[in-house]
Amino acid sequence: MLFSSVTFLYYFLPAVLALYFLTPTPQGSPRLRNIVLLAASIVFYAWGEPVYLFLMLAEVALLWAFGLLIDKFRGTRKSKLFLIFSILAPLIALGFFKYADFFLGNINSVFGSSIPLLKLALPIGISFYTFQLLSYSIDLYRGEVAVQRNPLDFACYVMLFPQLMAGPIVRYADIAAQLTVREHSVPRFAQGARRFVIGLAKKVLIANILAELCQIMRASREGSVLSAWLYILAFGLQIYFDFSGYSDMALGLGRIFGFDFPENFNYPYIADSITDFWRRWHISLSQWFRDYLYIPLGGSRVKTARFVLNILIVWFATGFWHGADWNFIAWGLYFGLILLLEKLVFGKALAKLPKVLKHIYVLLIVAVGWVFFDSSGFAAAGATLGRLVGIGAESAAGVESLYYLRSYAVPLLIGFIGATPLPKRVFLRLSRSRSAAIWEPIGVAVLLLIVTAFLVDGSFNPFIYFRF
Amino acid sequence: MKTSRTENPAPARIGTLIVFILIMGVFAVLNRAIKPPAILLTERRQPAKLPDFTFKNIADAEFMNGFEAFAADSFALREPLRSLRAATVFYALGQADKSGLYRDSAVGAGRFVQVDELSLRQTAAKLRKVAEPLQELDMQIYYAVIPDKSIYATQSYPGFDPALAAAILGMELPDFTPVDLTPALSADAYYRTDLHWNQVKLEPVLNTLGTAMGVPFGGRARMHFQGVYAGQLALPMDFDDMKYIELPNSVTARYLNDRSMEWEARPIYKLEALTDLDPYDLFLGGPQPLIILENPNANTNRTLYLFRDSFGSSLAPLLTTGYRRIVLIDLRYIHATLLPQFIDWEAGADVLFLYSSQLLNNAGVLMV
Repeated sequence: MLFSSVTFLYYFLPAVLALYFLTPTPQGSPRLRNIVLLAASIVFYAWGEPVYLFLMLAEVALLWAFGLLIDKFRGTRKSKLFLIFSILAPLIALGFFKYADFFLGNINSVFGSSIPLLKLALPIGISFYTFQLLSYSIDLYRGEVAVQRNPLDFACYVMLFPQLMAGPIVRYADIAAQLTVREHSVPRFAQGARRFVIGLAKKVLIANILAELCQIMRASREGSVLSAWLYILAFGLQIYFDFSGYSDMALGLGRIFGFDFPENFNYPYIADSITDFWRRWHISLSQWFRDYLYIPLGGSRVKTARFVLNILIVWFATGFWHGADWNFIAWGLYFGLILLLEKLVFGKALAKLPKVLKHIYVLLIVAVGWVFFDSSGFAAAGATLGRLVGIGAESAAGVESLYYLRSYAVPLLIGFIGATPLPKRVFLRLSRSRSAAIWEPIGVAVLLLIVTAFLVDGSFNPFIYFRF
Repeated sequence: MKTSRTENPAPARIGTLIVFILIMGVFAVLNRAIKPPAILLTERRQPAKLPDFTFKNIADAEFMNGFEAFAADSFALREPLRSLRAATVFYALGQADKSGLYRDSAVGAGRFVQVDELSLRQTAAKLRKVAEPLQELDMQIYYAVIPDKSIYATQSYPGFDPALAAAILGMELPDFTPVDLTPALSADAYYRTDLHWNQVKLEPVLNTLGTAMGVPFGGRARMHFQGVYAGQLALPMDFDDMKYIELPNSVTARYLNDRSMEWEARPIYKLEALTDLDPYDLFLGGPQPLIILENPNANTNRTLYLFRDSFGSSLAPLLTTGYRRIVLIDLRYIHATLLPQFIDWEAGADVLFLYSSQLLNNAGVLMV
């Protein structure tokens, strides 16, 4: 079920909110409410993936049991053995459902064989909940979190519907305490509702509209320089507002239900280096790879050759996590390479550049990355990159690209401004005024009604990060 | 976006909470209380039905997929919300079109579609196949493309390119004689709220066809009409005047009943359609596989086989001044292989393939 759907907004969510807040909290314990959330999360997941619900339930049950065993045999070799099992089990499931066809296809290509592909549908959110499961087991083994003995609470953590489909990747340590004690209040509900509606508007009113432009320019036969730029600008903004909008919705819903999820985005397009960009983009994923792969590999406190290898391994994994295809791997390694260059070659020189040049540098590097990310192959990516600088372009601009530039000028402008902290600064200044009591509720109401209008009228509603 | 204690004063929090719950709650209740509409009038379609709640439908997610369409189609205040979306797109976001639907001062509402080269070539291949037996009977075969009205708009839309279409069809249909209708049409030849052309504005088209095909083509009612684009756009638009040209009583029409497969005599203009969902069905009763128009007083004794789409419905009655007999064939509703069962091809007759740009872009709909 998509957050940006009529079903979620006007059937599922009102019912869950009513049920949740009508459920009592004996002695202040939210256990009964956890059960409501778990039941709601099961319906939420089953709505889109009825068959794969059982896969997720099985993984949750298995990892919960392994957790008990890791804890029971703590300090012995058995504990490590169960840690290995609890790492392998979800990774095998992820590998089978997400990567089997990639490997089979490559084996067929290399050896000329014709092993039939499995053509399995990707279980929604598997990359996200797999990482959550792994973080629990590893943190438990490291002694950083206490074992969760209540299977319902553990299932509630993994399957919590606000962050189930597309993150942020919430670690058990982040919300373990909130599973037993958490605060529900009018301010928290209001802040959560406001954050949810802002995320919804980012998704429906910016990302979806720019997705249309992106789709048109992707399919365009005009072959002009302008069409290539429109495509990459639209895609860069679409993926940001799509994913950060979803994260906003997740954080907002979490807050309504008393949880504090980690922030996932911090205006990545204002970064002044690629290192800085990855501290601001999909923060929960970057931190996950840092804590569970990069640092265990030795991090940066090793010889240069090993450091280079560590970085390339981490970014190979980051690219591969995003998709089972070579273009995703290339995208990941491309960023790994840029990060290495910043660290070892031109990082100091970059820091001395004027601010505006640093931002242009980041935006160009990221834009080139998006071309790889969204391409159907290296040849297509090469052709698009060429057209961006006029190589292979049929013209500078054509009737089609000029028309769409005019037609999407305002949405693009909103996207550019919305990707900076400017709207937030204006909002914070206004929200301290007395008139906030009037305009803030009106703003929330107007946004929610306009979003509803777009959803009811059947507008374009893709969601990029679902495929991960 | 982190929240701080200095922002969001108490009245604002309470106000936000109230509007959030109110909007969700009111629509949630209304959506259950209001009966789903039997028909979506402005969109001229049936609303999606609530899928059957069966184990199979749930297991294969059919129920869930169908439910979203049902929920959107039966949403309370759907029409005002659709207008709100249109207003946001055109006025707040300043977009020139709403998912391809545009508003233009010259041609009104429209939907532009680019030439689909592959489809055009597939359509041409189908026309060649249909024409093959007719060429053996020494018939003169013509084709004409009815351009989408967007090419007459004030703004330059990246829509159907008649020159590109003419170039492709010229290569694909070398044995057919092309008739260029582009100069004979203009913005006011089309309804402002619909894709079709207006019958009473087709005199230049008749002259162009008459000159090209060597056939001389030589009273009115009035009705308010809102075409398909008006409803899709979901913004207020002026009504079009739907007029039709009365024909002498000597002109008759026979229709193939696609159920009984028998020929039936019926009027050329279906007046009751003027108050139906699609008033354009006035012309020859809307979608029909085969129709024969006959005029014993025509200027020639010749026969025309007109392969056509809905645009042909309003033009064909006017062609009866030049042809004694016109056989209208709509290959969207009858397979080409069935034609010999119902039509006796007349050697030496004329053949005109007259298709709109929309149809040429959808080769799959022709049953050949």
